[in-house]
Amino acid sequence: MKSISGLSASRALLAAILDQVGEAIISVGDDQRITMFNKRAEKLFGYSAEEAVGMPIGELIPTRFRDDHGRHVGRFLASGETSRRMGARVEIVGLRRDHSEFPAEAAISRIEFEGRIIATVIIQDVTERRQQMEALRESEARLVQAEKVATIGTMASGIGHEINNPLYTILTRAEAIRDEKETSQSRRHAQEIIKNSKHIAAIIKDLAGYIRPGVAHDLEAVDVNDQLREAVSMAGHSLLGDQIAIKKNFGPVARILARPEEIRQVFFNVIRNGIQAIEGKGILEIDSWQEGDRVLVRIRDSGSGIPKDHQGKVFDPFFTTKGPDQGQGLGLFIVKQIVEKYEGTISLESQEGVGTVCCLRLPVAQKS
Amino acid sequence: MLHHILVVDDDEEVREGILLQLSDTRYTILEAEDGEKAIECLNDNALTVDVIICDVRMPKINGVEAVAYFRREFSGTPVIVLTGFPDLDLAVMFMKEGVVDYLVKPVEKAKLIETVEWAASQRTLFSESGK
Repeated sequence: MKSISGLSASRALLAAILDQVGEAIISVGDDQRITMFNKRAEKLFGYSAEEAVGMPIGELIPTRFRDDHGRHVGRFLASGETSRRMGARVEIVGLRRDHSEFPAEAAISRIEFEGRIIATVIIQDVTERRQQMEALRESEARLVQAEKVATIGTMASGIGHEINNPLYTILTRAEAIRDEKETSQSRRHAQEIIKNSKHIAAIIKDLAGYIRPGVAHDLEAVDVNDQLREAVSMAGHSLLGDQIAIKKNFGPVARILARPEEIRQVFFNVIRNGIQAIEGKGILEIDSWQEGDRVLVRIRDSGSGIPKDHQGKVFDPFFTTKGPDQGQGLGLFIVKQIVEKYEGTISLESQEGVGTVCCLRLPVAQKS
Repeated sequence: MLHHILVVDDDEEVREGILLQLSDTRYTILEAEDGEKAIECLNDNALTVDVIICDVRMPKINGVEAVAYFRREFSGTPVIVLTGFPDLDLAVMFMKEGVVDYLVKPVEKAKLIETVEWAASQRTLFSESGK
């Protein structure tokens, strides 16, 4: 048996260790009152240990959560049962002495000691981590938007071609109507003006759908083949020559649940990469089909292929082998983010000098 | 003597637009829908082409390749690039190739006529110096 002095020394040592821990540690008796409050807890909640010991634990929780919390702790102390997994960290909101709140993670465990039941709660302030996560999310969203803008930049001259041709037709017909000595052709010219105006409006609409920033709205049942057609058409705008044969083998597929512009961006980015890899003459083959509850899309190019040592990096942000005017190396990164958001997968197989095959699998919409 | 302008553009409506803009001039318009047809036309000895107006984005032989060919094989014939691409790098490249002007659609009638007349005057100079 230890001597009294030995016992108090080991208690003092234990208290000193607990005070050194970087997380708040609070123990609670079966009456839900605090029995122990370490230094980190003092700092976090703004109470001294003397003030906190004997205080109901509920005082450290905002009133709106207090009843619910009390029931949880009560049930846990009585039976050891909890809706939370033992030791698992859960998100809570802490209440400081000055009534300010903070986000925290807490883990609770139960000890039976000398016939008494004690619950120990370990609490970590996650304010900073939350802020970092938020900043990271914001910066990621900014990067995605920046890449979209860069993509628009590379498409701009191609789009210019698509818009300037019908604009030229409109101008020449309007000039012809203005300068005509007899008006026999005016009606035909006017019809051509109307037709080309509509054509420009359709291109602008197409483009607006692509540029629009990520506004949260409901998901739609998306026809993958429609989005493929639109992506091909948009990528085609940026083709300088028509020396790339695009073969489309679209099979019957069920709809997927997604935001159509995001799916279109996935296909556009992969198709654009394929076109850029071909560098002149070649074939881009696009297949779609369904296997069980997945829609599969395969985009195969006869381009230069990806060197072996680059293949593991193509989905990394900012990884690029292209010049600065051809994007910032976020294209496939964005593709992967979007595909995984919809619980899909993407894989790439490439052989130098032969080409690259990109396979996308997206889950079909569940019938409700 | 007949004066010919060869218009190389895959878009029929654009070719018709050029025809409309140049309808009051002394030129007869020859149309080619791609680089290949343009080369056939230029190789036809029965025709004298005064000026070539060439698009950039075209099937088969695109404008970049076509213009390089025209400048190499028919260096006496002035070339005007008329394109929908407002692209500075492309413009510089074509000017280095020796084209007379790089016009971006939509170009107004007066400007096109002025450019064609100026290009035709260059042809006269080219012809006097040889080819």
